[in-house]
Amino acid sequence: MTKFRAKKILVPVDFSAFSEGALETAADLPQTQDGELTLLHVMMEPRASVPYEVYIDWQKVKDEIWRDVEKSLETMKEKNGFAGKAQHALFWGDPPGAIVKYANENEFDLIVMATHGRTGVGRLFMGSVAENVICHSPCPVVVLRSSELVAA
Amino acid sequence: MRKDRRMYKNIMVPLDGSKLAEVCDFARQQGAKLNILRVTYAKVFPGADPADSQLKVVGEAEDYTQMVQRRLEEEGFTVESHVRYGFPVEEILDHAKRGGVDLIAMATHGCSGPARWMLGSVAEEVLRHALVPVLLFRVRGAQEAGMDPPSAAEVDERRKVS
Repeated sequence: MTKFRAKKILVPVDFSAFSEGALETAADLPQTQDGELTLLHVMMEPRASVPYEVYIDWQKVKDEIWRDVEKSLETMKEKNGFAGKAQHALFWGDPPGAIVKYANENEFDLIVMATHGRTGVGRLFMGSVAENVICHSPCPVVVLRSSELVAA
Repeated sequence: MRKDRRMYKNIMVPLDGSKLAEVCDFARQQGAKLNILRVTYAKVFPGADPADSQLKVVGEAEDYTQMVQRRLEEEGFTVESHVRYGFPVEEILDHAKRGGVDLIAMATHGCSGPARWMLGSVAEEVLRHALVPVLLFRVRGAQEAGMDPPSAAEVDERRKVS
Protein backbone atom coordinates (compact mmCIF):
# COMPACT_ATOMS: atom_id res chain seq x y z
CA MET A 1 0.00 0.00 0.00
CA THR A 2 1.31 3.41 -0.87
CA LYS A 3 1.55 5.63 2.13
CA PHE A 4 0.72 9.19 1.29
CA ARG A 5 3.00 11.80 2.74
CA ALA A 6 2.86 15.42 1.77
CA LYS A 7 6.29 16.67 2.60
CA LYS A 8 7.13 18.26 -0.69
CA ILE A 9 4.50 20.63 -1.98
CA LEU A 10 4.63 22.32 -5.34
CA VAL A 11 2.75 25.52 -6.13
CA PRO A 12 2.92 26.56 -9.75
CA VAL A 13 2.50 30.34 -9.86
CA ASP A 14 1.89 32.71 -12.72
CA PHE A 15 1.58 35.90 -10.64
CA SER A 16 -2.15 36.12 -11.24
CA ALA A 17 -4.47 36.78 -8.31
CA PHE A 18 -5.52 33.14 -8.56
CA SER A 19 -2.09 31.76 -8.05
CA GLU A 20 -1.54 34.11 -5.10
CA GLY A 21 -4.66 32.60 -3.61
CA ALA A 22 -3.38 29.12 -4.25
CA LEU A 23 -0.13 29.99 -2.51
CA GLU A 24 -1.99 31.33 0.52
CA THR A 25 -4.02 28.17 0.71
CA ALA A 26 -0.95 26.00 0.36
CA ALA A 27 0.70 27.98 3.11
CA ASP A 28 -2.20 27.17 5.41
CA LEU A 29 -2.08 23.44 4.89
CA PRO A 30 -0.77 21.74 8.00
CA GLN A 31 1.41 19.66 5.72
CA THR A 32 3.30 22.79 4.78
CA GLN A 33 4.17 23.54 8.39
CA ASP A 34 6.65 20.71 8.58
CA GLY A 35 7.10 20.19 4.89
CA GLU A 36 8.84 22.00 2.13
CA LEU A 37 7.16 24.37 -0.27
CA THR A 38 8.36 25.14 -3.76
CA LEU A 39 7.12 27.89 -6.03
CA LEU A 40 7.46 27.14 -9.69
CA HIS A 41 7.13 29.55 -12.54
CA VAL A 42 7.35 28.50 -16.13
CA MET A 43 7.95 31.12 -18.78
CA MET A 44 7.20 30.95 -22.43
CA GLU A 45 10.06 31.76 -24.73
CA PRO A 46 9.84 35.42 -25.76
CA ARG A 47 8.91 35.87 -29.36
CA ALA A 48 8.09 38.90 -31.41
CA SER A 49 6.89 39.35 -34.90
CA VAL A 50 8.91 42.01 -36.60
CA PRO A 51 8.11 43.24 -40.07
CA TYR A 52 11.66 42.95 -41.24
CA GLU A 53 14.84 41.54 -39.93
CA VAL A 54 15.66 43.45 -36.78
CA TYR A 55 18.43 42.27 -34.62
CA ILE A 56 17.22 41.38 -31.16
CA ASP A 57 19.56 39.97 -28.60
CA TRP A 58 17.19 37.32 -27.29
CA GLN A 59 19.62 36.07 -24.74
CA LYS A 60 19.76 39.52 -23.21
CA VAL A 61 15.99 39.81 -23.21
CA LYS A 62 15.66 36.40 -21.62
CA ASP A 63 18.23 37.20 -18.97
CA GLU A 64 16.37 40.35 -18.10
CA ILE A 65 13.05 38.55 -17.86
CA TRP A 66 14.66 35.87 -15.75
CA ARG A 67 16.01 38.41 -13.28
CA ASP A 68 12.67 40.21 -13.08
CA VAL A 69 10.73 37.04 -12.50
CA GLU A 70 13.16 35.84 -9.89
CA LYS A 71 12.66 39.12 -8.07
CA SER A 72 8.88 38.76 -8.28
CA LEU A 73 9.11 35.25 -6.88
CA GLU A 74 11.14 36.54 -3.96
CA THR A 75 8.58 39.28 -3.36
CA MET A 76 5.77 36.78 -3.49
CA LYS A 77 7.50 34.59 -0.94
CA GLU A 78 8.18 37.53 1.35
CA LYS A 79 4.58 38.66 1.17
CA ASN A 80 3.40 35.26 2.29
CA GLY A 81 5.95 34.90 5.06
CA PHE A 82 8.08 32.37 3.26
CA ALA A 83 11.26 34.37 2.84
CA GLY A 84 14.13 31.95 3.25
CA LYS A 85 11.78 29.02 3.92
CA ALA A 86 10.41 28.18 0.50
CA GLN A 87 12.31 27.12 -2.57
CA HIS A 88 11.62 28.40 -6.00
CA ALA A 89 12.27 27.18 -9.49
CA LEU A 90 12.16 28.88 -12.83
CA PHE A 91 12.03 27.41 -16.31
CA TRP A 92 11.61 28.27 -19.92
CA GLY A 93 9.12 26.08 -21.63
CA ASP A 94 5.56 24.99 -22.04
CA PRO A 95 3.81 25.51 -18.67
CA PRO A 96 1.80 22.30 -18.11
CA GLY A 97 4.50 20.06 -19.52
CA ALA A 98 7.22 21.68 -17.50
CA ILE A 99 5.17 21.60 -14.30
CA VAL A 100 4.49 17.88 -14.64
CA LYS A 101 8.07 17.14 -15.59
CA TYR A 102 9.39 19.09 -12.63
CA ALA A 103 6.99 17.38 -10.22
CA ASN A 104 8.01 14.03 -11.62
CA GLU A 105 11.73 14.55 -11.47
CA ASN A 106 11.74 16.03 -8.00
CA GLU A 107 9.20 13.62 -6.54
CA PHE A 108 6.72 16.08 -5.20
CA ASP A 109 3.91 14.74 -3.04
CA LEU A 110 1.28 17.35 -3.71
CA ILE A 111 0.52 20.10 -6.19
CA VAL A 112 -1.70 23.01 -5.17
CA MET A 113 -3.10 25.16 -7.95
CA ALA A 114 -6.08 27.20 -9.09
CA THR A 115 -8.36 26.29 -11.97
CA HIS A 116 -7.44 29.45 -13.79
CA GLY A 117 -4.45 31.65 -14.19
CA ARG A 118 -3.51 34.26 -16.68
CA THR A 119 -5.02 32.54 -19.66
CA GLY A 120 -8.44 31.81 -18.19
CA VAL A 121 -11.31 32.29 -20.62
CA GLY A 122 -14.67 31.78 -19.02
CA ARG A 123 -15.46 30.71 -15.52
CA LEU A 124 -17.33 27.67 -16.75
CA PHE A 125 -14.27 26.21 -18.34
CA MET A 126 -11.30 24.96 -16.55
CA GLY A 127 -7.99 26.51 -17.47
CA SER A 128 -5.99 24.48 -19.90
CA VAL A 129 -2.88 24.52 -17.77
CA ALA A 130 -4.73 23.19 -14.75
CA GLU A 131 -6.46 20.56 -16.83
CA ASN A 132 -3.23 19.34 -18.33
CA VAL A 133 -1.48 19.20 -15.01
CA ILE A 134 -4.34 17.25 -13.45
CA CYS A 135 -4.30 14.76 -16.26
CA HIS A 136 -0.63 14.03 -16.19
CA SER A 137 0.41 14.79 -12.65
CA PRO A 138 2.35 12.03 -10.92
CA CYS A 139 1.01 13.11 -7.52
CA PRO A 140 -2.29 14.27 -6.00
CA VAL A 141 -3.44 17.75 -6.93
CA VAL A 142 -5.53 20.15 -4.87
CA VAL A 143 -7.52 22.18 -7.34
CA LEU A 144 -8.87 25.45 -6.03
CA ARG A 145 -11.83 27.14 -7.50
CA SER A 146 -10.64 30.42 -8.95
CA SER A 147 -13.76 32.45 -8.29
CA GLU A 148 -13.60 31.51 -4.64
CA LEU A 149 -9.97 32.54 -4.37
CA VAL A 150 -10.54 35.97 -5.79
CA ALA A 151 -13.82 36.73 -4.06
CA ALA A 152 -12.37 35.64 -0.73
CA MET B 1 -3.34 40.84 4.49
CA ARG B 2 -3.80 37.30 5.66
CA LYS B 3 -7.07 35.57 6.19
CA ASP B 4 -7.68 33.04 8.88
CA ARG B 5 -6.04 29.70 8.52
CA ARG B 6 -7.86 27.71 5.99
CA MET B 7 -8.06 24.16 7.17
CA TYR B 8 -10.02 21.36 5.72
CA LYS B 9 -12.13 20.05 8.58
CA ASN B 10 -14.81 18.25 6.67
CA ILE B 11 -13.44 16.23 3.79
CA MET B 12 -15.98 14.60 1.57
CA VAL B 13 -15.05 11.33 -0.05
CA PRO B 14 -17.43 10.01 -2.67
CA LEU B 15 -16.98 6.24 -2.59
CA ASP B 16 -16.43 4.83 -6.03
CA GLY B 17 -14.50 1.71 -5.19
CA SER B 18 -11.09 3.39 -5.33
CA LYS B 19 -8.51 2.98 -2.65
CA LEU B 20 -8.93 5.39 0.22
CA ALA B 21 -5.51 5.03 1.78
CA GLU B 22 -4.05 8.22 0.37
CA VAL B 23 -7.08 10.30 1.14
CA CYS B 24 -7.09 8.97 4.69
CA ASP B 25 -3.49 9.94 5.23
CA PHE B 26 -4.20 13.39 3.92
CA ALA B 27 -7.22 13.74 6.21
CA ARG B 28 -5.25 12.52 9.18
CA GLN B 29 -2.62 15.16 8.60
CA GLN B 30 -5.39 17.74 8.51
CA GLY B 31 -7.20 16.35 11.53
CA ALA B 32 -10.34 16.33 9.45
CA LYS B 33 -13.63 14.52 9.64
CA LEU B 34 -14.35 12.17 6.74
CA ASN B 35 -17.70 12.61 5.12
CA ILE B 36 -18.23 9.52 3.01
CA LEU B 37 -20.92 9.37 0.39
CA ARG B 38 -22.12 6.56 -1.81
CA VAL B 39 -24.36 7.49 -4.68
CA THR B 40 -26.41 4.69 -6.07
CA TYR B 41 -28.88 4.29 -8.87
CA ALA B 42 -30.96 1.38 -10.08
CA LYS B 43 -31.34 0.70 -13.74
CA VAL B 44 -34.73 -0.82 -14.35
CA PHE B 45 -36.33 -2.24 -17.44
CA PRO B 46 -39.13 -0.06 -18.69
CA GLY B 47 -42.42 -1.43 -17.51
CA ALA B 48 -40.98 -3.22 -14.51
CA ASP B 49 -41.73 -2.05 -11.00
CA PRO B 50 -38.64 -0.11 -9.94
CA ALA B 51 -39.35 -0.16 -6.21
CA ASP B 52 -37.69 -3.48 -5.45
CA SER B 53 -34.47 -2.82 -7.25
CA GLN B 54 -34.32 0.70 -5.83
CA LEU B 55 -34.66 -0.64 -2.32
CA LYS B 56 -32.08 -3.25 -3.05
CA VAL B 57 -29.40 -0.90 -4.38
CA VAL B 58 -29.96 1.53 -1.55
CA GLY B 59 -29.70 -1.30 0.96
CA GLU B 60 -26.47 -2.49 -0.60
CA ALA B 61 -25.07 1.02 -0.60
CA GLU B 62 -25.96 1.46 3.06
CA ASP B 63 -24.26 -1.78 4.01
CA TYR B 64 -21.23 -0.76 2.01
CA THR B 65 -20.90 2.70 3.57
CA GLN B 66 -21.42 1.25 7.02
CA MET B 67 -18.69 -1.26 6.40
CA VAL B 68 -16.32 1.46 5.24
CA GLN B 69 -17.34 3.68 8.15
CA ARG B 70 -16.64 0.95 10.70
CA ARG B 71 -13.26 0.30 9.19
CA LEU B 72 -12.32 3.97 9.20
CA GLU B 73 -13.55 4.41 12.76
CA GLU B 74 -11.36 1.53 13.81
CA GLU B 75 -8.47 3.49 12.36
CA GLY B 76 -9.43 6.40 14.57
CA PHE B 77 -11.29 8.68 12.19
CA THR B 78 -14.43 10.65 12.80
CA VAL B 79 -16.74 9.54 10.04
CA GLU B 80 -20.07 10.69 8.77
CA SER B 81 -21.66 8.47 6.15
CA HIS B 82 -24.40 9.14 3.64
CA VAL B 83 -26.17 7.33 0.88
CA ARG B 84 -27.92 9.17 -1.91
CA TYR B 85 -30.00 7.92 -4.74
CA GLY B 86 -29.49 9.51 -8.13
CA PHE B 87 -26.83 10.54 -10.58
CA PRO B 88 -23.32 10.74 -9.11
CA VAL B 89 -22.28 14.20 -10.27
CA GLU B 90 -25.42 15.99 -9.17
CA GLU B 91 -25.63 14.19 -5.86
CA ILE B 92 -21.98 14.77 -5.07
CA LEU B 93 -22.25 18.48 -5.82
CA ASP B 94 -25.48 18.84 -3.89
CA HIS B 95 -24.10 16.96 -0.93
CA ALA B 96 -21.01 19.15 -0.93
CA LYS B 97 -23.18 22.25 -0.88
CA ARG B 98 -25.54 21.15 1.86
CA GLY B 99 -23.16 19.19 4.01
CA GLY B 100 -20.77 22.06 4.76
CA VAL B 101 -17.93 20.25 3.02
CA ASP B 102 -14.55 22.02 2.79
CA LEU B 103 -12.85 19.73 0.33
CA ILE B 104 -13.89 16.98 -2.02
CA ALA B 105 -11.36 14.18 -2.41
CA MET B 106 -11.73 12.06 -5.49
CA ALA B 107 -9.81 9.58 -7.54
CA THR B 108 -9.04 10.22 -11.18
CA HIS B 109 -7.95 7.71 -13.69
CA GLY B 110 -5.67 9.90 -15.71
CA CYS B 111 -6.68 11.42 -18.96
CA SER B 112 -4.92 9.57 -21.69
CA GLY B 113 -6.51 7.46 -24.34
CA PRO B 114 -10.11 6.33 -24.46
CA ALA B 115 -10.18 5.89 -20.70
CA ARG B 116 -10.52 9.62 -20.43
CA TRP B 117 -14.14 9.58 -21.47
CA MET B 118 -15.03 6.43 -19.69
CA LEU B 119 -13.42 6.68 -16.32
CA GLY B 120 -12.71 10.20 -15.30
CA SER B 121 -15.99 11.77 -16.24
CA VAL B 122 -17.46 12.05 -12.76
CA ALA B 123 -14.32 13.58 -11.32
CA GLU B 124 -14.06 15.92 -14.26
CA GLU B 125 -17.63 17.13 -13.94
CA VAL B 126 -17.34 17.57 -10.20
CA LEU B 127 -14.13 19.51 -10.68
CA ARG B 128 -15.80 21.83 -13.14
CA HIS B 129 -18.76 22.67 -10.99
CA ALA B 130 -17.65 22.26 -7.40
CA LEU B 131 -17.61 25.40 -5.30
CA VAL B 132 -15.06 23.98 -2.88
CA PRO B 133 -11.51 22.82 -3.55
CA VAL B 134 -11.11 19.37 -5.04
CA LEU B 135 -8.28 17.03 -4.20
CA LEU B 136 -7.55 14.61 -6.99
CA PHE B 137 -5.75 11.37 -6.46
CA ARG B 138 -4.54 9.42 -9.40
CA VAL B 139 -5.57 5.79 -9.60
CA ARG B 140 -3.50 3.96 -12.13
CA GLY B 141 -5.45 0.87 -13.02
CA ALA B 142 -8.66 -0.88 -12.20
CA GLN B 143 -6.69 -3.72 -10.61
CA GLU B 144 -5.31 -1.25 -8.10
CA ALA B 145 -8.74 -0.32 -6.92
CA GLY B 146 -8.78 -2.57 -3.92
CA MET B 147 -12.26 -1.84 -2.68
CA ASP B 148 -14.99 -2.92 -4.99
CA PRO B 149 -18.43 -2.46 -3.56
CA PRO B 150 -19.67 -5.83 -2.35
CA SER B 151 -22.29 -7.69 -4.27
CA ALA B 152 -25.64 -8.47 -2.68
CA ALA B 153 -24.55 -12.04 -1.98
CA GLU B 154 -21.42 -10.89 -0.15
CA VAL B 155 -23.44 -8.47 1.94
CA ASP B 156 -25.84 -11.25 2.92
CA GLU B 157 -22.88 -13.41 3.82
CA ARG B 158 -21.48 -10.69 6.06
CA ARG B 159 -24.82 -10.19 7.77
CA LYS B 160 -24.97 -13.86 8.63
CA VAL B 161 -21.49 -13.77 10.07
CA SER B 162 -21.94 -10.70 12.21
